Amino acid sequence: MYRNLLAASLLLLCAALLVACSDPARIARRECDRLTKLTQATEVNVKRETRAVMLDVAKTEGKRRGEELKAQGCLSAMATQPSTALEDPCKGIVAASEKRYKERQDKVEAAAKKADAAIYAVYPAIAVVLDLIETIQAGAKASGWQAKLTAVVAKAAQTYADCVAAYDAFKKVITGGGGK
Amino acid sequence: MNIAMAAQIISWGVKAVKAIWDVVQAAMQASDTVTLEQLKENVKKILDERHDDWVKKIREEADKALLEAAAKAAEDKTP
Repeated sequence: MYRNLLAASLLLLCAALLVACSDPARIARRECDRLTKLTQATEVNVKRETRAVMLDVAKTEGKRRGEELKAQGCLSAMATQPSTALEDPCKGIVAASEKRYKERQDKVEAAAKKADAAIYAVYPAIAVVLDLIETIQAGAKASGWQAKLTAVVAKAAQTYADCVAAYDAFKKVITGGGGK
Repeated sequence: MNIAMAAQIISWGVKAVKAIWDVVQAAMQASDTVTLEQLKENVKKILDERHDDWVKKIREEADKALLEAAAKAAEDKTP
């Protein structure tokens, strides 16, 4: 008698565990948590790497500009002035430097902005999933709620995949491997 | 008598199922790193705090670094 009761209790416990673990709303919420953390990590990486590469470009170009000015006998003060305020040959050196610097930084900036836009598209997609989970948990289960939940989770996952692709493109640009 | 006993056993069974379900729910909630409310709040905070000009700020910092490096290299006395 007691052995049968124990066996039945264990079976019930297993069934309850299975039901709890396979709750679609719960799975979706965990996925949202995971995607949020991954997106935040990508965001931190993009900001840190953008700053590192832009400062590196600036320092390298600055050093080159200063050395070229010095080689041409220009005053050191000219290194900090815009090309429009100078006379040749110092003007030509600074103008060429400004052009190189702008081209490189514009490319990095454009790639960073693209990655940033892709990152910030993920959060609203996650918010849609969370709102639906909240509605479901509140008991307002409209017909087809599971299919709808699957669809919004898939949309959030796809938005994150786009964000990863944008990050990869950004990495290529900052390492000089591409970028249009 | 038998019917009363059966009803009692069913009642115990229902209570046991409910108790097990409550324990499982509590265990699952305890294993969660973040609640739905916390997650919603977190996402809302990220979206509220977003500012678009972080690249511009870095660019300004880089522009300053460029001029400093240029001045330093131009002033450098070593041939």
